[in-house]
Amino acid sequence: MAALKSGASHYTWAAAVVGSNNAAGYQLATELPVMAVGGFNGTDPSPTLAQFQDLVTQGKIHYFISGGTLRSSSGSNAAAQIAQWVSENFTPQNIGGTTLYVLGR
Amino acid sequence: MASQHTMPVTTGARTGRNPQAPERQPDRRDRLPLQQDRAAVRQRLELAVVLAGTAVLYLWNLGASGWANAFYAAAAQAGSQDWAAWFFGSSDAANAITVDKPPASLWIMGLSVRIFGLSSWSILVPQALMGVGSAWLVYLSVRRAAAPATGDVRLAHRAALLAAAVLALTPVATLMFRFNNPDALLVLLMTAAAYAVLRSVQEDRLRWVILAGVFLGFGFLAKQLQVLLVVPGFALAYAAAAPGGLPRRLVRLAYAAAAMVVSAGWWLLAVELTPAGMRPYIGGSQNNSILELTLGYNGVGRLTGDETGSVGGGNGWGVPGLLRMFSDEFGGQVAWLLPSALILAAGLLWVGRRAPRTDAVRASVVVWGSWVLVTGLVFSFMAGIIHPYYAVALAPGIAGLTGLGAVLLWQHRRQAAAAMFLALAVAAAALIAFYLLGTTSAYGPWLRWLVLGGGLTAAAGAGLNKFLRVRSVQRATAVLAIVASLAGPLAYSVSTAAEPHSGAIVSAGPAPGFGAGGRGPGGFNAGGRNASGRGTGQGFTGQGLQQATPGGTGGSGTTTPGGTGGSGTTAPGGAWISRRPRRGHGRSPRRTYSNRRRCGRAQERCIALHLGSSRCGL
Repeated sequence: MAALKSGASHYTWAAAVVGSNNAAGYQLATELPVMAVGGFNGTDPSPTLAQFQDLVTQGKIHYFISGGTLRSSSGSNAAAQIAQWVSENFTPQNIGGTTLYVLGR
Repeated sequence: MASQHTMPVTTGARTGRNPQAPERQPDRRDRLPLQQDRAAVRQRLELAVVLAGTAVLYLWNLGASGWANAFYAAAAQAGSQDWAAWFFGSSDAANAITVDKPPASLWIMGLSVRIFGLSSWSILVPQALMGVGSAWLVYLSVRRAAAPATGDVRLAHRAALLAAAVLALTPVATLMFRFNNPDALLVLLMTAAAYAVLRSVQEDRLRWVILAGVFLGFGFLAKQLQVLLVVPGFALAYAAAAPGGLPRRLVRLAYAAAAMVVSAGWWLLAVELTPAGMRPYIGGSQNNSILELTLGYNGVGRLTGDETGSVGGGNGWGVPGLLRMFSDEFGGQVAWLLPSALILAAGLLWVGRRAPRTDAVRASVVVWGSWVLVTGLVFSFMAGIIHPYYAVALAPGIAGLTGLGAVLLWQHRRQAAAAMFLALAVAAAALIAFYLLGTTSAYGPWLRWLVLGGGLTAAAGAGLNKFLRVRSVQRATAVLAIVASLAGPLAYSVSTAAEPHSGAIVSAGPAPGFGAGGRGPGGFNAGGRNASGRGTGQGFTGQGLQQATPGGTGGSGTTTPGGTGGSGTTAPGGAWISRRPRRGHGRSPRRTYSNRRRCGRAQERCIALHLGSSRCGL
């Protein structure tokens, strides 16, 4: 949590995580905006991979937290694409049992 | 049989209804203004006790539930930080995406968090107060319909109190008013709409018709299409029972419909007209469209099971069917008084079958009864996402029917039909409680047997009341019927309040460890249900029962000592039926207004003061 809070003022979102319930937990703990990738179930096409990449390029998202579970067989797989892109292009850090990727500078 | 009760009915019409009737015997209670005031004060105190008890049940140890449903708690936090997030119902203050519902319930939680800071209490207290408000509105609705029908304000007060207690003690209501889902606001708004419809039937004020539409429109902004389930019944009740000619009633209904559309539509339009780049993505939709969310994911998809992007699906939501509300998943939440309420509704329709078109009791039965039937049947047969906690939407309907039906049929218990419906309703409540309490080991076997024995005894007492004319026996029957019928839901409600609830899917009743199996569909972790509902239940139980009892049907209080039951100011037939001959004229608006002038107070207050004297237009 301390990691999420540090330097948060430089970012629009302190973190992004797949699924609203995961995001909610971090958001309530930090009282900072946490992006729910894919909405409630992680199956809404928002943001798309391209949109997410733009936001990362603009330095608007600090961390990506892995661990969002995808349960649905229907709907968009944008969230899965994003998770995959992040894991392929960033270095994971393990903080307190949670895998984080630093997206921001 | 018909001739048996025609006689007293006609007599009642003469004695009870004639303004100048010299033979009208002033009751002990309404002779002196001071005593009238004392009665009114006492009723207010009793209402205050019931509502305060409800508040305690819904507020006690609320902080234990933490963020309850973190999904909505986080959105409330977001709304407290950013007005755009508040307006759109965003999950995050930076407006990436919205929750998969419209924001009305988040508006209230978000404001509360903005004012009081982020905490369990700032999120959950408004929800609990909505529960108290719903109970109060059910009280007002039932008392308003029962006052002219019983011709006895004290009886009407008791019917209303019983209805409020039934709502407060419905386990799933205890669950959801201690939780932060939109269901709490939805129930409050639907109950407010029911009150407005019933008031517009009795008062003939355009204002209340319009308000009903406004409440329903905002109900849409709480949980989308679910609110529409009660609309046909409300419209039918108004079209059938409101004063005035049919064309006039239909025009007013159109006004109400317009008010509803505007109240919901302004927000939808605002969302649609805001360019997608300037607002958050509409969560729950696949095309960033509020209309898709409304009609698909939260609309038709719920009925057919075709919901893109949902979890589970297929038969992951339990088997649809007529008995779903009585299944292991749903039964303990809401089924306790569901059949009894419908039996009482049938009894009301039968006993009041000769009442005039504008009869407020029949209108109430249509409002509450259609609510329970339509919502209950849709919940039973829908194939899409459904959770047991949705059943909270049934609670006010069940409460209204139970309060009104129990007390009115009790007043008319000398009629064989009324006694039979009463006996059936009490027996049904006892049997269902016996069954439901058998699915859990939380309370020990004695409770279900006591409930069964007490309930069946009370049912027999109600059915055979003709032969049990001793006043104390009749009173004991009424008290026993209420205690036996409410003991099960009370126990479940106390267990519900004693446990913390958090997560996405919650259910009422004792903790799952006690063997009420089949809770919640797989795949989700209900989480946090660890505390036992035992122990703490005890002190509460006694208190709650005492609160419920004054709301009881102790209708024999109207009997003159040594009388044969129910012959106080009005004949046993009561005002409900006996009023028929004059009612066709009596309900015209002009008469109501003229009487209001004579009384100089709002009709309801007037009734409370004058106990149904002619000055109130009764």
